[in-house]
Amino acid sequence: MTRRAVTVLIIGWLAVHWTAVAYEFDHFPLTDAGMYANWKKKEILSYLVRDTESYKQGFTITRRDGATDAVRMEELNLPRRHMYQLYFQKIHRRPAPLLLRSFNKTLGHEPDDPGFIVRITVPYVVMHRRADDIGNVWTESHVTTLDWDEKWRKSW
Amino acid sequence: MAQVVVKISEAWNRFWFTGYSAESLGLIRLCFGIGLFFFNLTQLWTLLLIDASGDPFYYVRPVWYFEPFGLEHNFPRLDLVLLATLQLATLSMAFGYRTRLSTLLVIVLVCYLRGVRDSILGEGHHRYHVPFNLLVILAVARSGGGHSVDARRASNTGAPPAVEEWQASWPIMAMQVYTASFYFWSFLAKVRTTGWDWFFDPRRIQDLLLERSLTWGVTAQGEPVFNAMPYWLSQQEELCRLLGVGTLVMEAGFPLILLVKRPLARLAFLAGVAFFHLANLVLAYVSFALLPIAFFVFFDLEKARLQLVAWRQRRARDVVSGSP
Repeated sequence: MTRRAVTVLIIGWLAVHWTAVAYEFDHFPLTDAGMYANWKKKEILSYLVRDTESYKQGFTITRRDGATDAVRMEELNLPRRHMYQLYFQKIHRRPAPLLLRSFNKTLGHEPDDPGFIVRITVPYVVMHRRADDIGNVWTESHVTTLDWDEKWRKSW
Repeated sequence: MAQVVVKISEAWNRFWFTGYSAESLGLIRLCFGIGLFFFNLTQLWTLLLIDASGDPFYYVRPVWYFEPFGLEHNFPRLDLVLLATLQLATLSMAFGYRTRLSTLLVIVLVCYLRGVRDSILGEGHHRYHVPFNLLVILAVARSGGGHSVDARRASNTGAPPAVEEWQASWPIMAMQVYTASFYFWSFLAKVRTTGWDWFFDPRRIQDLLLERSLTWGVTAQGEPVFNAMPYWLSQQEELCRLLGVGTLVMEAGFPLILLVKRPLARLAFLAGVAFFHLANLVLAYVSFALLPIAFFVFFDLEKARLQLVAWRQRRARDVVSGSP
């Protein structure tokens, strides 16, 4: 490459990066530095309690034939760290069709199979505390339920 | 007006095209490459734990560049082979064996394996951004011209093609600019999405520390069952404020390193940033502890090597002559 070509390359490279920054492309692959940037001031701080044993029991699922069962990390062939994140974080944040598709495809179930997973339920506990008195804590129990919708067959 | 243009042009050329040799670039490639070997392990180690003989896992959400290729699930056995290949290619790049080809292979494999890791749970991490951009610059530049197997082979078969000062300098400066910019963009992102409260309100740091302190479980009183340090620190308001302001100084002030030429001053600043990443790992489990492998680009390692060689020679002479 000639020196002139390098100059053009550098100018183009800087222009692409800084345009992405200027236009606030949060997930532009070259400049995405937004992780940990977003924060909202809260009076009540709420955190999901992570019980290091519960996720090893797996997800409680309901099959199309009505049977209930558990799906463990060994069946999904996920390492412990991924299962931990899935159980305590992602399952509560990701859209239901994505998760149900992932589980069923991994386990080899088609929508008409009696073993097809139509529901995933995950109980969880949230610990609350006041921001100005963090020693004062109280907890609440919740359940995340992901239900299969037959409309999703189209994108199966 | 013409004088201004000439001055700008001279400053541009001085900034981008002077100051470094092929050996400087080669040593940066070597040190960064060895660091990358370990960095890859810290980022991709979960792939090693997947049962290679087990079934593939269908991704929760594939990364954007997997979709055109129809990549919907991982390939447990193949992924392990590719991870081993990545590590070999990383070492090959570091030691300058078929440097450009090795670097391109590392880029492709990092893209793929990072994609596998992120697609499994539908995540999007930015931990590879700095190393990835450095790799691209090393691939475009003639980074195998010094301290490399390629340079040694070329000199054995005749005169190696010379890498001129400008050819060695621009990639080093581009790597410096990118790394400094990355920290500065982090500062901009915080100001834009949260405002100055991110840095000046101690509750931001307190919130992060409290959330992360629960990673390993929590007692009924709300205390962590493991690693009490983040929980303790979250209750120290002034320290939390100091950490917030320290983050502001580090991220917003990082580009100033480009103007600082004294190696010791650079070293002091970058050691502080490295400590920041280490503290983040211990207190908040943020896996950026090995990002400082990118900081080699801020030093003329060849100059340091020559100074070390000269010092050792002086010392050897002193020993022979019997002087203290």
